[in-house]
Amino acid sequence: MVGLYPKYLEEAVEMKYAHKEAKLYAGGTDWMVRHAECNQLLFLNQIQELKVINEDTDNIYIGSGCTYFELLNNDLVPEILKEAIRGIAAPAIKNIGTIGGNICNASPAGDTLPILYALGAKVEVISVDKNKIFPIEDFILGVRKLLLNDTEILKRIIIQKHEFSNTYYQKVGARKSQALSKASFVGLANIQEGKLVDLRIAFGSVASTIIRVKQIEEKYIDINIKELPSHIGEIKADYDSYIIPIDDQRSTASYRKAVCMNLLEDFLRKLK
Amino acid sequence: MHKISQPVIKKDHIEKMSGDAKYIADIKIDDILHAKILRSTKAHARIVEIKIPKLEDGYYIVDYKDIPGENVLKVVTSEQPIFAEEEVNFIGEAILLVAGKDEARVQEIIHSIEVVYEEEKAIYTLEDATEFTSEYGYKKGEAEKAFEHAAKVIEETFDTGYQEQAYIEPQGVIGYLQDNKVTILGSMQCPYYVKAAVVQVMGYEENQVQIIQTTTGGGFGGKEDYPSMLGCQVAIATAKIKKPIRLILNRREDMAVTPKRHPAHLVYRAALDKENNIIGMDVEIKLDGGAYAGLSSVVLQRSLITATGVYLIPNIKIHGKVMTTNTVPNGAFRGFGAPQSLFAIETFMVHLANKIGLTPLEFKEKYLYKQGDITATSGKLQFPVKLPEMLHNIEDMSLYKRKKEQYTNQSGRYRKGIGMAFFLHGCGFTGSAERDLIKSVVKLVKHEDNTLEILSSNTDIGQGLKTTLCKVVAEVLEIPLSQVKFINPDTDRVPNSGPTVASRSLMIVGKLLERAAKRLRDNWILNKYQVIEEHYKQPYMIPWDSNTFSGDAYPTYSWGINVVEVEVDTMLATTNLLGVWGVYDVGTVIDQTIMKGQMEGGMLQGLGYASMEKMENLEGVIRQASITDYTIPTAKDTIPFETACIDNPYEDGPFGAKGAGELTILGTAPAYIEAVEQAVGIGINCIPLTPEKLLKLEKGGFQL
Amino acid sequence: MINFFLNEENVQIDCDPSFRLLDILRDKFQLMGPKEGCGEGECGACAVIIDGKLINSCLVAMGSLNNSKVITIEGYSKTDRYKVLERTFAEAGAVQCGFCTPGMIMAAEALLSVNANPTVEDIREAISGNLCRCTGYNMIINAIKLAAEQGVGLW
Repeated sequence: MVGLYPKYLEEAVEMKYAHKEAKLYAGGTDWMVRHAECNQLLFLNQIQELKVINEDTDNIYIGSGCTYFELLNNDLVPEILKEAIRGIAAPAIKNIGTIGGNICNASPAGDTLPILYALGAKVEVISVDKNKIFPIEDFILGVRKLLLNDTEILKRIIIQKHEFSNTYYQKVGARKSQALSKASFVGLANIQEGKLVDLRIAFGSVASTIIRVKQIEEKYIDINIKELPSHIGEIKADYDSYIIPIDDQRSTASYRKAVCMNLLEDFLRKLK
Repeated sequence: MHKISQPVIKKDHIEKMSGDAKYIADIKIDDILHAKILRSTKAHARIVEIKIPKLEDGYYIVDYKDIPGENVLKVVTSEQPIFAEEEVNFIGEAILLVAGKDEARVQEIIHSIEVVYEEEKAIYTLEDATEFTSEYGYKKGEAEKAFEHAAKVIEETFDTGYQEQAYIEPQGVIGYLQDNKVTILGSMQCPYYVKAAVVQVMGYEENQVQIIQTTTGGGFGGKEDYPSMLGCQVAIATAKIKKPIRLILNRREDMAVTPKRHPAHLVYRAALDKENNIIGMDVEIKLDGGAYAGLSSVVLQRSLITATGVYLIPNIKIHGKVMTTNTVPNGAFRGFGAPQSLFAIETFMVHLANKIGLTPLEFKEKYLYKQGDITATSGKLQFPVKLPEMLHNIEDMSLYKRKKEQYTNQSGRYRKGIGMAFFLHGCGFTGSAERDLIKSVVKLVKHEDNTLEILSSNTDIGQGLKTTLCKVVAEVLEIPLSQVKFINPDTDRVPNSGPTVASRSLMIVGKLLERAAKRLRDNWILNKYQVIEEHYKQPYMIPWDSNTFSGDAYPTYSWGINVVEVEVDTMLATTNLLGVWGVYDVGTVIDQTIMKGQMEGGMLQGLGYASMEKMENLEGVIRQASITDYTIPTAKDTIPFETACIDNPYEDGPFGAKGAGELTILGTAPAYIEAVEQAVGIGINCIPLTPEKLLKLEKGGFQL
Repeated sequence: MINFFLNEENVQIDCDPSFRLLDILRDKFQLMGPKEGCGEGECGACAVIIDGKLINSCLVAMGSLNNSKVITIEGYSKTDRYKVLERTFAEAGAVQCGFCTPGMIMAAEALLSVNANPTVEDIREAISGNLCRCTGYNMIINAIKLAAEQGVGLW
């Protein structure tokens, strides 16, 4: 096994271009457990550019190499994302696991993903000759499947600045620490003059990728908040065909689905 | 408080804190070979052929053909082969061993071996099982008549799941050969069990086998019998290859192949008279033994003896079987058959109370054992039973009665409940096994420098035995604790004082050491090497008949009461602990801090058993075979517990001590379930009660 | 050649960059304090402190260590802070089988070094990735609380 140790992002993309088969190593918390077959490891953890969190007027930019610990200690990171990060694993993992790793593992149980989907996050991918920006839902194709070719590196996550008057997040795990999610739910909304003007809902661990259905969200925009309770049954029915969890060693399909529907209803009832 | 109860710094505290303590994986031997086991991937099959690639020099295969003695593991009886010959009976059964210098290469070789199987029909569940390895039953009074004359008969069934010991140190051994003698070092509870097993497998003389316990990172019963298997596998390998061999399981392998707490199916029937008094009880217990008998028969005995808990029921009929399935063999885990029965009887009593309109406590109190009562097995409770005093204490601590009344008719998302469970644990081996089978011997050695050494085969697996046994000796002789030493046992040096199981070590072996220390005190010769040997003597017991299960099942009992208070989030079907209390009678406490550690740890294990510790067997495969998927509680899943011990010295224990280790796990599971039942207003007959199960039960007609 | 600091000593090692720090500590440096309980980053028995942070050494590839400062129980046990923990862990009865203990001590140090006066909830969070099957945790939590009280000025 050969190690590649770039110090700068530019160097990293050159190395990746030259060593297309090299696997990317960020925090290592997942790679070290799975030990995917490879002959070259490209270590990203010395690259300071991947650890930058900054902003401009419209957006927050989060370097893919930021650890959970670093995100929790940065004022620019949206509180709802921090809430999800607090529920990840335990300190020893938070200290090395990275947001880029969480995204690139592309697990439907990835704890930051429902939040990033709901926030409409974009990812910026870099290679020797170009930068590309995609919405996160276009970047993640399925379980451990990404729209990332063998010359590219995930550089940063771009989150549009946006205030929500209603935020709701719940992870359901088997215990209060060191738990992989059985299901997770995030709901974000804005209400103006009694009307729902922005609604974002995402579910984790209930399908092969995070579920966010913009058509359903749009359907209820402009609805009077007082009328919302009468639509709850309809909204749940709208989501029914998208929430298709499985039975596995951690939970059951029926539990996951029931809990998601309960959380959805609870979120909707609490909107104000 | 007794003087001996004062806490001390544990004998092994410093070395465990600093990381200097040597566990099995920490022992380095030059030129050691790493071994791994090729295991069956079929639940029930004939082995047609094993295709082994050509191996480079320095890599070896060891299988049943290399066994000089008998290819069978000695446990209670002997059934399980060390290496499968023609047939495999569970997924994970050992077929052969590969050893060599490079661990990764050994693993590659394991992967490259192809086993051709011819599959046979496999049985995976208790429901489907028809064959059994043991069956016992007993009666007191005239149960049939009671049922004939009953005004009402109430029947319920209970199911309990696997529980994995989840000691943090995985199992492992190292073996080497010197002058025709094999030495096995390892993480273990019972060095002489390993020795007997190796002697039988190797066909050696007793003096050709030496077993040395290394500092052991938790056992909880899981290292009672399985180290014998590893010891035999390594003994065979080292005898063949003539090099030191190291066999250390990784976590997933450990969880998939080592014995666990038996899943159980229990059917309880109560005969009630017109006034709703229990006049008879009939209990039928089935344990899932897995593919081989192992310790299961003895586990079943304790399940059956404990079936009616702490209650005096006039007429009882108890019967049970250990069923055979093509799954990993089950074995010992703290409580040893009692947790299943106690969950069932305690929950059954609550349900009976609910049905006849009494509070659970009012109903249970009518039947609580008292001193002088005839036990389920027609023995006699010779010693004071202080349940009323304990009940008083726990009521003061927990305010159980007030909360029980308060938490009725709740609605809304979060609902509270409280539960209380009573339990007992028979100390030591069942019946006269200590006298007839174990025959413990200890030695107390006084060296010329007047320091003392305890020679005993009992092991400190975290429960503090190095400290408590030394305290007993030091206290008798009125010498500083530092003057007494007890190091990890080596069968070449220590006599057989029996296994470290059954809450027996401190009570039985401690008593022998107390007697030895008294004799030494009376015969003390300054600066002279002296050895005092003591042999077990059975205290007075109503003779035990192992055929009819009658007489005193145990020399004495330890007692406990737990209260658990919870809040259920009905939206997610999850629970939060609000309060956990325990009051125990373990005779004299030999060290308050050590005892507190037993209470705290045992109670949390019981709560895990009741709630989050789910392990399933899917067609012979353990689905949660990792510490990621098999969730034991973390520091965030618990809350401060309040515990107390009452004083009730036992004359045949050292300074009055009784057994304590297993007792502490028994009560929190039923107390937790009663609490959840109250919170959600539905009956629960199974553990672990995961949120998945609770949500399913809620949907079964209960409006939330 | 991988360069790092091990218990304040500068060390170099030539090894496969994918090797686990845990194995290198145990096999090459004979530091047996970090234990392997699961090899999946779930139990915390192998936890060490890297650049001031608690990290499971089974999840660290050697190639990711670049001049990092690694502290194991062997190095830490020489400090005055450790002596306080050694005493309070005894006082509170926080050690049973001992297999989780070195990792637990590392977690305690990682907490106290950034929060000298932690609440019970802070302590629970800090040790929430260190599994213990013997004690039920409360006695460990008490031990860390006592250390914060008795070690005033040390952290």
